[in-house]
Formats: sequence, C-alpha cells, structure tokens
Amino acid sequence: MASDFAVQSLLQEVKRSLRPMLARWLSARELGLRKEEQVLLYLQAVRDAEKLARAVGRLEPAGRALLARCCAEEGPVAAGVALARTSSAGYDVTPATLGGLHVAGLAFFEMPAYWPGNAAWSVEHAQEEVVTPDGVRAAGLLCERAALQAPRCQTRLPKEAEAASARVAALISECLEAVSEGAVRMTQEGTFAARTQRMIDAMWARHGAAAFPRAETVLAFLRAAGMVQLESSGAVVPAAAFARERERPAPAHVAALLDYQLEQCAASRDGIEEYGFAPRSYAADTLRTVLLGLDAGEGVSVADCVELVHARAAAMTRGGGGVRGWSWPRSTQATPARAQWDRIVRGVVAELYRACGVVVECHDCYQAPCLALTAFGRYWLHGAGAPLHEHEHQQLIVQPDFTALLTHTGPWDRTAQVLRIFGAHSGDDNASVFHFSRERVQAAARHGHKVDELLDVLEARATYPVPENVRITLREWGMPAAEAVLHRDANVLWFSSRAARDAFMRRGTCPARPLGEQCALLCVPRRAALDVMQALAALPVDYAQPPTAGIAILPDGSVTSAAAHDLRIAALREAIAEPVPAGPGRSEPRWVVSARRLSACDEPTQLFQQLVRLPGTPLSLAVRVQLLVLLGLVPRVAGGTYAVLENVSAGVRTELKKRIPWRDAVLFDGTPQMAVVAPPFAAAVRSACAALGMELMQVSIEPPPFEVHESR
Amino acid sequence: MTVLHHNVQILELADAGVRERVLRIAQVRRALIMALDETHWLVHAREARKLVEACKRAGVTVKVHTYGE
Repeated sequence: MASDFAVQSLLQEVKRSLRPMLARWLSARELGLRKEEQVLLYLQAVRDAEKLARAVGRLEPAGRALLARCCAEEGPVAAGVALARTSSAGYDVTPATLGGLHVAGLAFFEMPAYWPGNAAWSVEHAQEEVVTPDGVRAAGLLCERAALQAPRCQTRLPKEAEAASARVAALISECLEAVSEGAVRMTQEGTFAARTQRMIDAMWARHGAAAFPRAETVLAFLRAAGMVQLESSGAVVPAAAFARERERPAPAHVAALLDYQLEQCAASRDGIEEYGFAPRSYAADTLRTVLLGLDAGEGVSVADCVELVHARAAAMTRGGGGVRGWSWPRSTQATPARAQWDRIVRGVVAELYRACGVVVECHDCYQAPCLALTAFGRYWLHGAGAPLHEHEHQQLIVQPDFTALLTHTGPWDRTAQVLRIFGAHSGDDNASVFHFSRERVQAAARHGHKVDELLDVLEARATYPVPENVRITLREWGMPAAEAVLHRDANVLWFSSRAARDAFMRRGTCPARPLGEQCALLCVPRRAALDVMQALAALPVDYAQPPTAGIAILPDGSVTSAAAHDLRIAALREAIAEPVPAGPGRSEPRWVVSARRLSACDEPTQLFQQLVRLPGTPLSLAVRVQLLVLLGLVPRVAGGTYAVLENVSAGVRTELKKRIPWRDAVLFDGTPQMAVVAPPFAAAVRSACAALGMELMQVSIEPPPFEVHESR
Repeated sequence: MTVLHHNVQILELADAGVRERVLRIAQVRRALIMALDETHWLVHAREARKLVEACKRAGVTVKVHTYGE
C-alpha cells in the first residue's frame, strides 16, 4: 500500500489535466466526480487484474519491458536506470516510452515538476525516481531479453577456448581450500594479512593471467554467497553454506562469480551524476544481450559492439515522439562519446567476459579479430550444457597408503573436485595424487561434507576395488565429531612421575586415558575411581569443596602451600611464581614470586581476588599491597607508603561514598577485603573514616615484604 | 604421592583452530583452572554450564561426556 499512498497524493498534487489518463480506467459517469474520488476509483481499478491486463496489453513491447523494469526493484527506481536496463535488454525505449506509461496510468515520476509536457528531457529527469501503483507491482511483470542484432561473422573456436574459465574455476577452488585450512586472514584495515597476501600472490601467479578477478573480489563474492565469513579476529572461516556451495559444479562457481561482478557493476554509481545511468553496466548488459543471440560458429567484433552500444545509448536518450502532451519534445541528456564507449566496452570485454572465459578472442574468415562464445559462455547465458570433463582413458587408483592417483583430469572434473575436498592434492592434470589424512577428512566433515560422498566417488570411479582398510578408516575419520568435549564427572589421577603414570596405564586395572606428562583421566564412575584411589593409597582432592589450604608468601619470596597438590592452588602459584632449582638437601624445586609472571598476567584483578579469598592464613596487608603494585593495579608511589582501608562492609562503603568522591579517592577497590586510597585524598578519607569509627591504615612496602625474582 | 582429583570436569579441544576460537571466549577463560596438556583443561564445575552455552553461541559444538553411573 506504500506506493498507492504515494501515487494518491501525487495525482492529487499534480497541476495538469489527468483526464486522458483517467479516461482509460474510469467510466464516463465516474469521470464526472470530484478529482479526489476519481483518484481513489482509479487506484481501485488498477488493483482489478482484468482491467490491469487490458491496460498492459495495450502497451508496446518496449513499454511493457520498461514497466517490468520499473517494478523489478523493491523500491522506486530512477528513470534513467530503468530506461538503460530496458534498452540493454534489447528494447528500443526512449523518454517517450516513459511518457506512454504516464498516460496509461501505470508509472509516474514521483515529482510532478518532471512529468511529461513541454519541457525538455534532461539528466535531472533521468535521475528522478518513478513510482508504480501497488496493483501494477503485484502483477509480477517480467522483462525477457529481446534479440539484439549486431553484425556477425563466421569463426572457429581456438583449442584453448575454455582455458580462462578453467583457470578462474581453479582459483576459486584453491581459495576455498585455503579458507578450509584457516590460511586466510585479514588485518584490521580490511586488507589481507602479509602471509595471506604472499599466498594469494603465489596462487594468482601460478595460474598466470593478468586480467583475473582480483582476490578481494573473489573473497567478497564468497562472503556474499554465504560460503565464508569474517571473524572479529580477522580470520576468514567457512560459513553455513560452505559445504553445499563448494560441492556445486565448478562452472556454476565461475558463473556465480561473474553474476556477482555484474551485480556490483549495476549497483555502481559511476556516471549516474553525469549521464543519468551507469555506462559500464549498460555496456556489460548490452553485450550480454548481443552474446545471447550468437549461434555456434558465429562471432562478433568488438568494434561493432562499440558502435551498437553507442547508437543504442544515443537513441535511448533522444526526445520527441510518443503521445502529444505526454512526452518530452527535446532531450538534453548527454551520453558518452564514441571514444569513451570504445574504452568502456573494451574494458568490460577484457575484465569481465574474457577474464571469466565467456568469450574468447579469435579470427573470422578474413582474419579480422572477433569474439566468439565459449562452451562456458553458452552455459552461463542459457543455464544449460555446463562444460563436462569426460575422458575415456581416465584411471583412478586408490592405494592402501591412503593415496589416490587420478589420471587425465581437468578443471571441470567432478571426481577431482570431490577428491580435493577430502585430500591434499599434488601433481598436474596428467597425473594427480590425492593424499587423505585424518586432519583433512575431519576438517571436511566439520565443514559439512559427508565422507559417504567421497566413498561413493571412489567406489564408482576406481579402476580397481578400493582397499578395505582405506574404506573403513575413511568412514571412521569422517564420523561427525564434536569440536569440543566436556568430560563431566571425570576423575583425574596425578602421579609424581611419568614413569609411575605409564606403569599404571600398562597395568590396565582401570580404563584410563593419559593426560599430559603425569596425569591420567579415569574413564569410570566415581565409585570405581574411589576404589582405584584406595588401591593406590592416593590422596583425594575434592573439587566440590574449596581448597583445604591457601598460599603463603615468605620474606625470601618463596611461595608455599599445604595444599600444593590441589590444581587450583597450583594454577595460582604458577600465575605468580616460577620454579627455581631446589637448594641442597631438597628434591622438589622451590617456587619464588616472579615479576615477569605477575606483569604478564591477563586478568590481574581476578587473580588478586582469588589470592585474597583463599582459605587459611590470609596474606598480610603489606604483602597484598606489594602484589597490587607488582600486578600493576596500583601505581608505585615515592616512599612506598599507602593508605589502606581493610574490611570495608557494603554499609560502610555506601556511607563513605556519600562523604567523599569514592571513584577518584580509591586507587584500587577490592572491597570488602580492602581498598587502597590515593594519597591526595588520604586526609579526607581519614576524617570520613573517623566519623564512622574506622581507621585508615598506613602500610609501607619499603623495605618490600618479600623478595621478587626478576629473571627474564 | 599419587593424588586423585575428583569432582572435576575436563574440557578437551583437539582441533587447533577450534582451540584458538574457544580460548578467546571470556566465559571459557573464566572457567579454566589450568591446562593439563595441549588439548585438555581442568574446568571449574560451577562454570561448566556457562562454558557450554558460550561455546554453543560461538558456533562450537560441545559434546558432554559423563562417566557417572
């Protein structure tokens, strides 16, 4: 209804007689009503399918095509763009055709000032949007391409006619492989990372053609097609449609890339300001219409195409003609000069159609250069007859060492395409070797490919029977595996040495998996694990309970704990200290506070909170302040004396906040355990604390309460 | 002395790419106690549910394997 509202207000606003238009939709009696009522009745009539079909049927084919183009977009479309798209589809349209749609009551300029009349058609008209009533939009009109005749010649396709499209297919395939391997990364600026750029340069150089679509274009196409996505880290990873799209035939990939490039070309605003339409898009679309009319063995010269595009663009913008009073008698809309068209058309041919292998350069019977449609071009234009790879001498030999040898292959070979998804490829088209590995097969399965597809291809195409071990192992590798496993209710047995762990594993008394150097994951229920614990006289650590002891930091910097076997304690100890060789008479290494580890901590606040919340004897205030300084949570002050509030309850904190600017006054808020006060606010906080019966303590870390190991 | 750590949960991330993705998630980092080896991490049981949900949101499929009766 949005368009109907726009059309209703437009028709009521327009200052010219609408009788010729309304007379086509209303009866003589209705034409006698007030204008507002006539407009409402007109909109009602447009929604009548029968009346609409009659009105559309009265139009010329060019008018019908232009109307379909005006309705093709979601919203209103600019007149110049609609005219250009209709003209490039093979219809002879002019501004008068649009005037015809006005008088037919099917499409209107949104601004009454631009309606047909005595004024000249200009580039402003071309940039103005056209609206159509909802009834017309709902009719679902289609604009089929009409035949566009350009002088043709007889030619023969060269032997390498399909080379360009095959190279683009190979490039897309290699790009997808690189994404599958996680080798494509972008920088924050949106460019390829240095390593990715080197890989892409090598890839493009390997296929050796200058006018290929750029790597950025290929990546943008893969993203637009939903095959890959860009993560916030800059990694380009497979997206939901990755596997489904990757399995499509290679010619479909090239065709989709070309369609994407043409869409980008059509969406470009280049030339709209100057000409009212995009010349590059117009040239590309007109050429497409010309190519559509070429039969096998026929060619067309680029010079003829330039002439055709130039002539049609000039005709499209010409004024005059049409229904008297409902057209534009003159036109001032400019179009590119012939030299410009020459450059644009040759650019389109080289960068789009020849680069993607739609056309190939060859010679006519007089040895003059011309363009001929390739097999891939025919497939792209007509949607059928995709180039196939068929070779009667092809052999596929699957060997027990998980390699497959494929002979006489090529870029359109479906067998090679499937094998490449699951195996690392080497060799060339004469003899390709595919090596299957667990990583490759699992990565493919993770991206949505099914190993059955590979097995089906191997069974169907292999010259000799597929070895049994290969079939079974491939199926096992391809089983869908979770990306992460959470072992719930697991029990971990920690041994004092790797030898003791391995001896336990060898005994096989309990199903277990080795973890790291000294651990074993017991794959049994808790009761059985406790039996094992008793049998081994092992010490239990229950993670459903808090640790049984905390951490102590001694003046010499040693970090000790009575519960060092608790991995929570061990993790905290590792975060703040590092081992140094044991002293004489001691077997275990000594752990000492490390400045390097403390400064490298990712989440210092969380680490500090964990340390002060540990059970057992709490760390002294000076030790805590020293830790805060080493963690970088509190700046080092001259003299090393800090004002600290201890045991700050929520109520006291609220009271203090009312009396002092808490956020500015506190350097580190670790309430309820402690808060470190900034020196300039110490006096104010002290008096506020005194009023609440609290004491602000002075803590000095000069000399430091513990030594710090400074090793790098 | 041999020690049995029970009532624990272990997160296993075999694939390097997945590992990198998962270990970037804040909820996962909060849940980890320490690495047992390159592919296994000891996880706080109280954070395990949040960890699984965060992984699912990030598009990582998590299989929960229990050894309980």
